[in-house]
Amino acid sequence: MTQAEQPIDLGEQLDITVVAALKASLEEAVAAAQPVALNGERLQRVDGAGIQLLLAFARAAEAAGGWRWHGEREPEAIRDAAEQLGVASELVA
Amino acid sequence: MSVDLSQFLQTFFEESFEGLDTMESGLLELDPEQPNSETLNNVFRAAHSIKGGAGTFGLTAVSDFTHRLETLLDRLRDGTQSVTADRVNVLLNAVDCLRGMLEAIQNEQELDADALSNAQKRLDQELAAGDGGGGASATAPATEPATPPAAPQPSAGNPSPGGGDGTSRGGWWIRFEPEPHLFATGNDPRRLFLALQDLGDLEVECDTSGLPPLSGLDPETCQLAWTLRLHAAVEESAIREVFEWVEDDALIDIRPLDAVQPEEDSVAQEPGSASASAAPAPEASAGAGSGGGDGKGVAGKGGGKGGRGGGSGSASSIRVDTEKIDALIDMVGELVITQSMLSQIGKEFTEQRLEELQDGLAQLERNTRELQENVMRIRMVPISFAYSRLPRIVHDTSRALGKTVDFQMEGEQTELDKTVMEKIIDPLVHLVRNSVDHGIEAPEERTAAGKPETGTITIEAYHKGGNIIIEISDDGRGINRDKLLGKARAAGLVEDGSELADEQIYDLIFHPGLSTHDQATEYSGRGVGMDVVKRNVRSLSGNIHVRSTHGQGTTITISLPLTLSILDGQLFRVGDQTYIIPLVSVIESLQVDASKVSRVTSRGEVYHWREGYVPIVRLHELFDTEPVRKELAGGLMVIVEDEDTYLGVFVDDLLDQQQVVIKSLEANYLQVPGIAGATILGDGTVALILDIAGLIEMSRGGRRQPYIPQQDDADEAA
Repeated sequence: MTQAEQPIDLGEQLDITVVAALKASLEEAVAAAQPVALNGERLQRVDGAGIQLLLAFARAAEAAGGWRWHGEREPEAIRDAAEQLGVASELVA
Repeated sequence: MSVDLSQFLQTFFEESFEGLDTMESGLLELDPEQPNSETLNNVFRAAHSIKGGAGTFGLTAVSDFTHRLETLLDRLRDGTQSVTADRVNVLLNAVDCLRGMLEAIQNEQELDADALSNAQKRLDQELAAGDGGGGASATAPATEPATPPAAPQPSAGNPSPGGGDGTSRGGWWIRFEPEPHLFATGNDPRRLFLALQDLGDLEVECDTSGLPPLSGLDPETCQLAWTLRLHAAVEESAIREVFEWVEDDALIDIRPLDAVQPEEDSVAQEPGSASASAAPAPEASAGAGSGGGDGKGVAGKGGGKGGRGGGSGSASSIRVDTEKIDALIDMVGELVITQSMLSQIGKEFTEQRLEELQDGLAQLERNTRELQENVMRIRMVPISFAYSRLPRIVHDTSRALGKTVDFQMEGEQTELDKTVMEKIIDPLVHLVRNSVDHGIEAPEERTAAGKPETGTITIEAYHKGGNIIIEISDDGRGINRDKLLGKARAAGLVEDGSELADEQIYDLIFHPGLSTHDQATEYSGRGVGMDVVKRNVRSLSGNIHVRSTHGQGTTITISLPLTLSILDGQLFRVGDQTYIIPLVSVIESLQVDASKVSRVTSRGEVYHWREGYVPIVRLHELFDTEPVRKELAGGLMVIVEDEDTYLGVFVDDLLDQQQVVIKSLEANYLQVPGIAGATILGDGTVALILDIAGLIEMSRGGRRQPYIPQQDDADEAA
């Protein structure tokens, strides 16, 4: 049986202003023990706080139901930020 | 939309003056033998904040000057230049100059161009000098006691990583460990790294060892750290500039890449090992760096004053602990509850609820009293603010006079009214300077007297009753009682043959023009000043006393009221009016002996009292009221004093002594000669508080009748 994916839309910004709210959604998704598909296609702004949250999420999701980027490729905004902050290996395919 | 920054300028001045005080006290604490790195960091941070603020407000002259100051501090901090007594003095001079600049700007005066140019020249000389004879050899930071064993040394044949100008040809190793609150300050590591990338190739390694699991993560705090390698032949100052705005929010360690040994580099990158102690010790770039030599000029012109912050132009604002505000809010909450309880009783009142009503009223009284006490506490500030100027005075004066002094401050958290504190600063400065100059002997004199070479001056503040007591003690030579008495006799202040108690003799030092010092110095000895000290203390309704033992030291004790809003008063009655005399002015109350009353032409009635005569003032005549008694004989008289001048005030009856809250007559009505203010007594009646100095003036032939304005005048004044 194929497990249903839980899509999470990251919206247009992944920064300090949204991380608290997003964390709750991500935690909920991880707790469901189903694969999570992150959609970051609309992302315009990503900061250090956003990347830090994704990093913690990725580790938690790996240990639970797994996760992937919607569209199978990381959004450009995420790739740039992750490379710049030295965490590309964990967030970029 | 533009923001009017001028509304924040006052706050900037206040914070900058506080920062300057921090810098000054930090610099005075610095021991050139073993400079404390945390103290240096504090001084640097204060300078950095002033520079940042000045830049924000467009005060270019201030930010440029502070930049030089900050550069020198930075070099002391990172060990490029060592801490020396002379350098500390240059920095202290720069702090003074900066304070003068800020004061001038605050008071809209011209900057003191000479002081600025002089301070700038001295800073530039230090910056250009590098570490003097230290040459270009790499040294351990001055903030460390010695080269630590773990410090990597440049390997043989490997050129010194420092280019001699703060440039590392091999690039830079940077450890960046943000404080958790970094994100909350609006700073983003991405922006920093982007700025570093502009300088050259940047390798970024993220240390995620501190990152908790998702469930335990506070996503608004920064739990990551980074090790960066910047492959660029740039000056260290260029990198520091990138981190300029996060210096207070992160641990930033910058080393020449060549000086970081591979194994240690890797150790520093290992999870959990990124502490400062595990990181390699810096290989200081040597000699004269170029930071600070950015060629920017200082735009200040003209000649202003170079005084201290908190002077006449200082704001009449007060910074209040949140705790005190919270206590007030609690009190108001209690008051509202009591009020609503009383109002409920009022609506449904029956005789059976009388006891409940009485309890409620008692509660209201308690609430009101507590609220009053808490409101009064808002004006109370620690005396440490007044203390902050003193270490510098001791440092400068003792240095100039070639003395060594250990200055101790105790009771720094003792609170007193802000106004009282501001007015006591100058007297304290004068007294402490006097102690260094007159009290403490030269080292050789102390040694000859069997005392330690270093003299001790202690200032202590504590509460006693409703007063704050400030004691300034020294273990110096003390006052030569006989010499002082001899001088006083020679000056005609004391009659030949008359004997005085020790306290009265020591009190003579407050007499204008009388100094125990044979030679005046730049600092004291002209007999000018102690009289001003006493006058200032008395103007605050305080007292000052001297105790001294020749050869052992002197203690000067100042007693001040905690606040100027409340005074201890002696209540008395004339006719149906109640008046108050400040208790501090009352010398004695006596029953008039008719045989001691005389009438002197043009001076009116005088009373023979303590080997002299005091003028008598009949208040009922002065204030045009109907007294109970007009005959002096057998009546009551209060002898009052102001600045060693005495007056007999004839009254009908003496009442209680009590604390009263002073209400300004001037603010509510008009200034009336002879009256200092008014108060409302417990029964709701108004009582006038006498101004003793004004009464004495009147008795000297000034206006006998106080001018009582008519209603029209009062209306005009309103």
